[in-house]
Amino acid sequence: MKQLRVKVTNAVGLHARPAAVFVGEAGRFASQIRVRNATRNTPWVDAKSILSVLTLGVEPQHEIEIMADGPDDTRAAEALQQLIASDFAGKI
Amino acid sequence: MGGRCESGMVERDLHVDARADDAPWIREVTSTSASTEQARPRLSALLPIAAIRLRIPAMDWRAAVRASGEALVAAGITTPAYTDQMIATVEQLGPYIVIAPGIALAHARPSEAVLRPGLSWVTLAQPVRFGHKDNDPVTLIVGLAAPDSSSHVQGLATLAELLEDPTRRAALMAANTPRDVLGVITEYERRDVRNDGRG
Repeated sequence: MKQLRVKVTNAVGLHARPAAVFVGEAGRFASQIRVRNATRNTPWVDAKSILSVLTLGVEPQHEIEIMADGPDDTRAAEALQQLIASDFAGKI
Repeated sequence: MGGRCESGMVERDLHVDARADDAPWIREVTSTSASTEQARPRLSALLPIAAIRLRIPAMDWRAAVRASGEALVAAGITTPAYTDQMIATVEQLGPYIVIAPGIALAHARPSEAVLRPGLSWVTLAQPVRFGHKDNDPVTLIVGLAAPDSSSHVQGLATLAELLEDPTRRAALMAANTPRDVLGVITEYERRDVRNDGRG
């Protein structure tokens, strides 16, 4: 199990296109991955569902927590953290 | 519907932004005591009744996205240029806008074609395919227009909550009139206000 926290610094938060890119990245890993909006103190949701990620209402400067559990959990959590920390690395 | 929105807001001693004068249904509400999320327009305030269209015939995904753009234009949320931008987004980036089985979230980047934050709701007479590997065919197109980064985020979150709830989703999809769609939404928002433990 690997759990990380990261601040969302891109201009638009985690909606629409960024949410789709985030979920697409999560889907590359076998581990179960969950995410929550720590700033809004939301429940954990499935990081592989765009609809679920949209319920988090993540705006710029919100902090999210990522929890991965499975065979590639460390790589998964770090990849998602890196994706957000790099402002989606030109993917949006 | 303006009256219905107001009744839920006045209880909190809120200040209504001057922009509400020319767009009474999308009051940008701020309050010294409210948290950031409470300051965002609610879903019902982002979705004017003129932007809800049910069982629209559409031959293909382009026609479906066009219908959702036309609903945005009809409600004064966007100019027609935004409709073309939404279609171009799918052409360039693929069918990722199909965010769940049967549901597309049509949108483009914030642009001058967006006059104010808002949503449209278009259901199709016959489902269409976008070419999404898991979530085709699509029956509901939600059109999303945002002039900036965050004004719509909480409204969109509420919409996602509604669509994740099988009972409410079924009620929304079975709605026969735009007023019925808004009724499901406002009923949920009232419940949300009563039970919200996040505040």
